[in-house]
Amino acid sequence: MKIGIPRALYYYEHYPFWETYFHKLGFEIVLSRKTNKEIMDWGVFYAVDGACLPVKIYHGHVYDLVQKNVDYIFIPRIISVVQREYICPKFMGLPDMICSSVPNLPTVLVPVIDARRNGWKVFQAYFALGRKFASPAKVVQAYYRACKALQMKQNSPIISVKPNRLTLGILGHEYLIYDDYLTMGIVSRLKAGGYNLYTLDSFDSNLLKHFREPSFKRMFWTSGRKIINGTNYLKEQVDGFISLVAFSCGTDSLVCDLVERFCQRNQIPHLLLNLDEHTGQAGIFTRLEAFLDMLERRAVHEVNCSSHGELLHSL
Amino acid sequence: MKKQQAYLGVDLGSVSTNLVLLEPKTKKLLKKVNIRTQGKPMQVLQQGMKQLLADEHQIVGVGTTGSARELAGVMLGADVIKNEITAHAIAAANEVPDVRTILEIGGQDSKIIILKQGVVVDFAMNTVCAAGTGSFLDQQAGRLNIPIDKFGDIALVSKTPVRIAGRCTVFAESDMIHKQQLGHSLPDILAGLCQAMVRNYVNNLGKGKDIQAPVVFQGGVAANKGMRKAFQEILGMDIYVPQNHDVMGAIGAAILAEEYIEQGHRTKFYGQDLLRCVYSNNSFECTDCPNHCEIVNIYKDQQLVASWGARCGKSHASLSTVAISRSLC
Repeated sequence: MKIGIPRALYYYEHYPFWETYFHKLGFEIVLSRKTNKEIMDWGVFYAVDGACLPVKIYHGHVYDLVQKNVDYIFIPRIISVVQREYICPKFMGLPDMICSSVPNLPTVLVPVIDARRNGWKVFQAYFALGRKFASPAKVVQAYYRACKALQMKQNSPIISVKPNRLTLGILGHEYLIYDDYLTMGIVSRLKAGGYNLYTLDSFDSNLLKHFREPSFKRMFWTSGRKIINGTNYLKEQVDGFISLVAFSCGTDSLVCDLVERFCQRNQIPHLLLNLDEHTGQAGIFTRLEAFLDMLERRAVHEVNCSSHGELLHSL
Repeated sequence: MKKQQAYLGVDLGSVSTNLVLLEPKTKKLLKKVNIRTQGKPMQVLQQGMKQLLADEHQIVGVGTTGSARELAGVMLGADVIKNEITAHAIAAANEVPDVRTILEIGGQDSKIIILKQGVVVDFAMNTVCAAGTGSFLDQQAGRLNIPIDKFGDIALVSKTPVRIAGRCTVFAESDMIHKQQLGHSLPDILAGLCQAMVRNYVNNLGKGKDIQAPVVFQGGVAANKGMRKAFQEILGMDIYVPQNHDVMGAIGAAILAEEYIEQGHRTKFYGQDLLRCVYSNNSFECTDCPNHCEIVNIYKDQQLVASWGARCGKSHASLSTVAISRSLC
């Protein structure tokens, strides 16, 4: 039995879980290809017009799996992944959007992932899903192995900071930052350029629960909370922040503005890059280059420049 | 006779192509050439170089900027290839050492740059939409059948500018036509348009930016007196327009080239060679992977000198031989 998992959206955060879970249940896992022009074209063609680019691309990935002749496609209906928090509402409607617009779908597996009240409901959802294919004991074992795999992923990555190089905080959803096609390779280029990069999964996700600036209200979107707390946590460690935002992202329209104001208050340079279907890279890279230039020249002239210190007088 | 040394700065923009020669040390402008790009950057650059190199200057360093800076850099053998924001900031800080805010409006883009003690601390560029840039003013001047260099003078006559919606050029145009058909005078409409553009600029780019005097206004649109006055009124500050406001990007590039050469590097400039060479380009869709990138190859005397557009990094003349041979067929 082959199960297809689209390489988009929550894939970037939850894949270790899904991989272990379905593997233990005896599935052969088929991933869609990395995002490319073809997938983007399919996505834009099949998705509703108002959706954001990552959701459109998800449609393309599903269609890619349709062409790979898988027996099942896994499209969870994700409502909440952390207690008392939600995620973007588009994830909730995702299975419906896909089923009504992508043709020739095989059987679609749609567990409802809702951890808003407690984790028990998540277990129940995966248990019910697994029971169609395996014995209760096997499903339970698969679920716990999967949880462990996810924990391993979350606890591992920490970067080593090179001295004398700029340190940048990359803010944005994982599914945007790590999709090299969507971001036109911004992150990999920065990495290749030798910059120190912090992304929001550079550290334990529990860490980001506690760095809340008093002036912010409690964020009820998981990713928004991570971005805002991450900004606050990193404020003394980075030379500047780069926000990557998908055009027409609903949650980011709010979160990004908060981040921008926060950066202004704390005198931290902040660059906002809006991503959409552009393939011309010139505009994005001009801004990025100018931003890096600014940080570099600033670092050189810092000795006789009070660009940070003026905060005392202006507030 | 010994030739006079000079640094060459090139700003190869979407609408205009500017070349300047700067005297080393004093940074005095020796010569400037300002021509329209007309969608043919390669030919126009060569043409501009012909005009510029006609006399006895020895080029000791080259800097390029503008949206086609990479292209210009490859053609000239540039020492420094820098983005427009840095170049404009450097040039303005050279002219007005304590400058705090730079307003720059060019053909296809507009930017605001905030400096502190000569260092850029913040900037913003317009988004992909070209509303509120020089090309819109150009287009409207064309529609009203007035030469673009008279635009500002006519707008200055106005006593009661009309209010025009400035968010989007389509809205602005329909608003202008309504006002015109109601019988408002031309100067009032033009002055209103200037105000609308400035309001849009301040709302859009200046949002949340700390705009402090001294303010320098540069770029092609700075020639328009109506725009200057509108900025003055809306910001409530004096606006300084440099004498060479139209070539500030190129001046900045030349200064950056000087900085670089001063560090002990030798120039890579091709010299007179450039004028004799035949440059050509072609583009094709690479089919090595499903991304189907649009690759552009630049040839100098039929020799591949640059290639870009590939997302996979196979660019800059290191494309797979398959792709190159395909492009040559």
